[in-house]
Amino acid sequence: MKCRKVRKNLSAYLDNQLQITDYRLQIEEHLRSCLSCQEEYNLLQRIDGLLEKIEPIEPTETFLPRLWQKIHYFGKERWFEKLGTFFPFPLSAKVAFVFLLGVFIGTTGFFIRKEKIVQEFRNDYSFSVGLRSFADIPTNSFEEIVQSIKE
Amino acid sequence: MDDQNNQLMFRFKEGDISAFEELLKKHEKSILNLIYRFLGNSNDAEDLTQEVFLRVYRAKDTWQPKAKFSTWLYRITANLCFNWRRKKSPVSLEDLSILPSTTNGSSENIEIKKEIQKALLSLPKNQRLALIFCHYEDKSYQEISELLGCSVSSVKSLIFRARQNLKARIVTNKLHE
Repeated sequence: MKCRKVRKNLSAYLDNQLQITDYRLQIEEHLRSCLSCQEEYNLLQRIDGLLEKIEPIEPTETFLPRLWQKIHYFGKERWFEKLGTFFPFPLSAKVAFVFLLGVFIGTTGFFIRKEKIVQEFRNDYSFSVGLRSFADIPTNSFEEIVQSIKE
Repeated sequence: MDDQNNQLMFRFKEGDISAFEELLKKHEKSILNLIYRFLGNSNDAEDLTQEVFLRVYRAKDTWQPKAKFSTWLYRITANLCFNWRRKKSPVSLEDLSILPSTTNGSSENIEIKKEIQKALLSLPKNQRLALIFCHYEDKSYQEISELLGCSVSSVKSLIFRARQNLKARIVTNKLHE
């Protein structure tokens, strides 16, 4: 086996992942006789050793509480996701929809209220006019003369 | 091992939260460290690990035992790692100071650790992840190909190139001496 081929397979050899078993024997044989490839192999081994310097870490004390908080929050926001399946549009469209819905509800509410107030005024006015019609007819007025002729 | 994981997942599917807690206990450390080595920052690693388990939780109702549980879990992790975007700035040297200090951690040792982590972070994402799966998780090339969705020869090439890139950086900084 030539140096080029050996070097190409050295990484897989190091990981014990060579698919062809023969390659392994050929590489081992080559390494025994080729100083340059042997050096390359040693260097790759040293690099693997250096990778071990990145030591494992432990989860912090807040890891689990924060995870459970996220899970709890997920349960609450789930209804919104379900809503999203019926309204599959981008967030900007959803925000615009909510805004327009708010404007619609606000405007409609204002007009309904306004109509109600106007109606109340009308009722008050007709009631007051009605009361005036029962008022006494002033003496010697034109209305009293007309009334006396009628009688 | 995976039968046990599947059984736990079935129990969780039926509403047994303690089964989820058991799964979490079994896998949190390995997933956390995998992500930590990929991102180089312990805070971000914790956030992303939580996201992995949140996805497991969310998949409770839809999960089917089509693949091995560990394969499924590592695939979620790989996808999240690939799609992860840092909210603030890219990893700086200050972030790497979060690296845990050892009991015999001389300043020279810490410097070497920082350089190794920097060298690892300088690798393209797919090379980095393939090397991490192979070196730290003892996954075979076949398993890595299933996790990354590529052929075994691609995995071989990815790990070869990752080592060549690391070698170039480490030789330049004379860390191997």
